[in-house]
Amino acid sequence: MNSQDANTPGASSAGNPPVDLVWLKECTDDDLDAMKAMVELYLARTTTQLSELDAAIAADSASDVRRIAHACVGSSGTCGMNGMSQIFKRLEKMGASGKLIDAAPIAAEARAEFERVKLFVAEKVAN
Amino acid sequence: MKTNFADGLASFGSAMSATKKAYRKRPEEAAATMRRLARAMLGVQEVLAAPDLEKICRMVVNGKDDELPELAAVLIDVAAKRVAALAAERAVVLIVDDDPVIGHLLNIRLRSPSREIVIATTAAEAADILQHRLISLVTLDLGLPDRDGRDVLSEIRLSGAEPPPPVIVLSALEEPHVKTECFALGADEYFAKPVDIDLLATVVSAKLQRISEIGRKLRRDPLTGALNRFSFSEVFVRNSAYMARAGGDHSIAILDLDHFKLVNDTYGHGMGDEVLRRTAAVLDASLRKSDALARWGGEEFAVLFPGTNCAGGAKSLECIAEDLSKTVFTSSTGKTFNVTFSAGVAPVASGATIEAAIAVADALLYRAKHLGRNRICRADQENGS
Repeated sequence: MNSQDANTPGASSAGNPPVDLVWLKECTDDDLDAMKAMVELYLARTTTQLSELDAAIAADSASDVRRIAHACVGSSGTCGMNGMSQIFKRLEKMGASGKLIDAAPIAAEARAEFERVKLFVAEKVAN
Repeated sequence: MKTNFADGLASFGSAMSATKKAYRKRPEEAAATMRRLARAMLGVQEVLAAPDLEKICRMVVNGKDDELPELAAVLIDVAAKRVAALAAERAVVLIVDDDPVIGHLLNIRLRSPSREIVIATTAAEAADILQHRLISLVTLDLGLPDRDGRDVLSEIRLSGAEPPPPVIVLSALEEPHVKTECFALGADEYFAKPVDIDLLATVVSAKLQRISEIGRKLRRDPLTGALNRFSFSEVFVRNSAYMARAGGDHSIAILDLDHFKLVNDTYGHGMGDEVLRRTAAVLDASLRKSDALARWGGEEFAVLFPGTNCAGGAKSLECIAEDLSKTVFTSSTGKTFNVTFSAGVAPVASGATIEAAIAVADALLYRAKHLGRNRICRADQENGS
């Protein structure tokens, strides 16, 4: 994975950028249009999934949290959204354990990281 | 050219076309290039397996300078038809993944001119595609919304498709037993998500190359290149399933070369083989891409006409009979002759087995022979034409 300047737009507090741009470019074979389309799909899908996660947490459905978070781990990792992927992994584990006590703050963390992703993407990918 | 014959042949066609244009200005140099290109094509196994292509290549190699532009034009045309036919035989890769992000990535990285990519986002959709289409390779996600991908894997292996498509499992499940279970269920490869897409693309290419070599040998009659009985039956079953849903007529024909034994006895079996090869080439050139041609027996061919009734099938065969009548065969002693065929065309009733459909066409073929040969008898007009 690639490391980038901590001052990059949307960089997380840990200093790592929310999107591994090098990974993203490599996996789409440097096809800019394909990369943009993939990121758009990711943003749309993740927006829906974050709402589904909130609903699953509110309904205290651990199996749904696990299932949704698992899917999020796959697409986040594929797109080089490493921060998102790590947060969703924690939620997936929590869903698997059946205990959702701390799930709501982690979901909020996911939303905050997602905002950073959107900011980064708007600056570095969309234009 | 070995790795992708269609792409290689297309570039030979372009080179020949450019050389043909250069002929006016520098005829001698262009003629030498045309011969060199044709000679190079003759070094390719797939060219030698295509009688029409091989023949025109040899004519270019041996042609006089002033004949070459015309011969090159024929070669370009024959090569273009072959490229089109190969495109129709494209590998079909089925991507089973409910994640549109991953589906998109796999689509852009696995697509190529020699491949068609089909995406299913549920197990039910995948099962439907697998039932109705001949799939060359499957990439399978395990976390599908309607069923576990492992069930789909078992179904692919139990479907009895020949050759069975290789299945590459893509999974974000980290438990080690999942990987073991997938291999036990018949997976060919297992990639953990996030997938190393470069490695996956390489593995897919290598597997498709191997499948295409094995598949061609399994599906085709080696002499004529037409489908063999087994694969024709498969096409028939798939077509029946499709027609049952889509409706419409379809018909089937059996053709038998007239007096073929006499050709063998008079000119030898080598000439007999040449007659069969060129007859198949004439049939292949005239039939639509959606029609299926098989070598059914010794000098018998079967044709399936999807979406076409008996009258339409018979009309198509009449055109082919006319083309064949213009095809002149020359024996090793320089004697020339033509061949004709008799045929029976029968409708395929909904739900009919291939045996039942062929039996009706066979009876009509027998009638065509009985009425004097060189004619086509169809079910709705029994006296032939």
